[in-house]
Amino acid sequence: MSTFIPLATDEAEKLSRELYAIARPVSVRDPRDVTTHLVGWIPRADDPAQCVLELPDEVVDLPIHAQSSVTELAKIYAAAQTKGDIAKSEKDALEAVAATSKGQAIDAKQLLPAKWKAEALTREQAIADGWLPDPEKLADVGR
Amino acid sequence: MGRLLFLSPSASGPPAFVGPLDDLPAPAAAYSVARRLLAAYEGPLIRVRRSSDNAELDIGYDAAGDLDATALLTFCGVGDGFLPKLYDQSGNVRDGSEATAGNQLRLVASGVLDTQNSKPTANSNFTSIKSLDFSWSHSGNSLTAVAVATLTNNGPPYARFVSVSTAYGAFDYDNVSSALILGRNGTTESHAGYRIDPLGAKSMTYDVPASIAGKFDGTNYTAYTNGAAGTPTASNGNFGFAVGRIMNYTFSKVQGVQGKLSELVLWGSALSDGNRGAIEADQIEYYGIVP
Repeated sequence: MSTFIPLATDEAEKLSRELYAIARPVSVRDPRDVTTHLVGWIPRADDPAQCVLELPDEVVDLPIHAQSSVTELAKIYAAAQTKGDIAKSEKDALEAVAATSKGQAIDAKQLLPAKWKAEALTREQAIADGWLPDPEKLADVGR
Repeated sequence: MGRLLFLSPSASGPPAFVGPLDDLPAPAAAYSVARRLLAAYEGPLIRVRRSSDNAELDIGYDAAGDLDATALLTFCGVGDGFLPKLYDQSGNVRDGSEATAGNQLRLVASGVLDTQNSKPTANSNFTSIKSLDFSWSHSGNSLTAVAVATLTNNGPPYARFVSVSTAYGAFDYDNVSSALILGRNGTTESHAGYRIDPLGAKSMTYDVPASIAGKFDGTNYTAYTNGAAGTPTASNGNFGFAVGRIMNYTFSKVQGVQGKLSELVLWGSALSDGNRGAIEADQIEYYGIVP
């Protein structure tokens, strides 16, 4: 099962991309590699600029690469701080987790702001609030 | 095992490989995580991403045409392996791909191959977001899909083994310009095709691998399980699509089917009963399916 974090779609895309990048930096990827993002995000049908980031309940293993850089991830945290989602102390702590975990595997959820995790919706809540389409209604439309 | 055929006595060299699709009309797309399907195809079957460091590698087939499971398991070690790319063996380069790690189907779990009846498979791992996307522009009014799949009973209703549409996010029930080819029929133990409503449903047993097929012939949709047909059901509306999604729905990735998929072959025409029956019989034999 998963929970779903409401975010701006571009914010979710960047976060997913940069989380994957610290596990598999672009510099070490093969040109034929396909994978570029860590977790999925699903845009709202009625407002594609908003989405939910899907967060599995289980541990999301993130083996942080020894050659990784946290620069781009830090920019996301800085933007979250500007938005008021995290305090500077939490921003610094998140950057430190990423920087000091090189060569180790951690749960990717350790790199998410506490406010975002606290706002995660269950699948049922995400459907009820219009973030996700209702499978039953999808099937019924047009009948 | 891929079929082996001695075409003529030969003083040296291995017998020529003959794939299960070689005697059939050319497919629009042909995917298998388990075996080579056509003699003309000499590329990899899959690309795998391992969990230990997220490195990726193409995996091909052995001398018999079966997935090189040794290479796959060696690469994955004691970790997991996932499917960022499923190569199209038809020669049309309609590879299925998924760039998001969390959305990739699983091939190996803790060093052990995911299987259906001991054959390699792609496993949705009991979440509804797994998928592979491919491009295929088709304007004809007929098509056929044949797959080897297992359906579990803990996924969303109307989940999709494979769907097609004019574009990702397009709502096919509104524009009637696209169709789900193979999908779960509500919450029942069966699969069906869709053009507005479920069409031509045919039962399949939960958690049991089956050869499932769907065919639009321009007038009717018919579903098949292990070669046995459901009731042909009239379909209507214009037809035509540009994109497809394996193990999920082109509209949104929240309607992924939960289960397994080892093989999927698509034709842009309605296969004759004889040709459809031939590939179904081959799948039943190869995968040890009990009809």
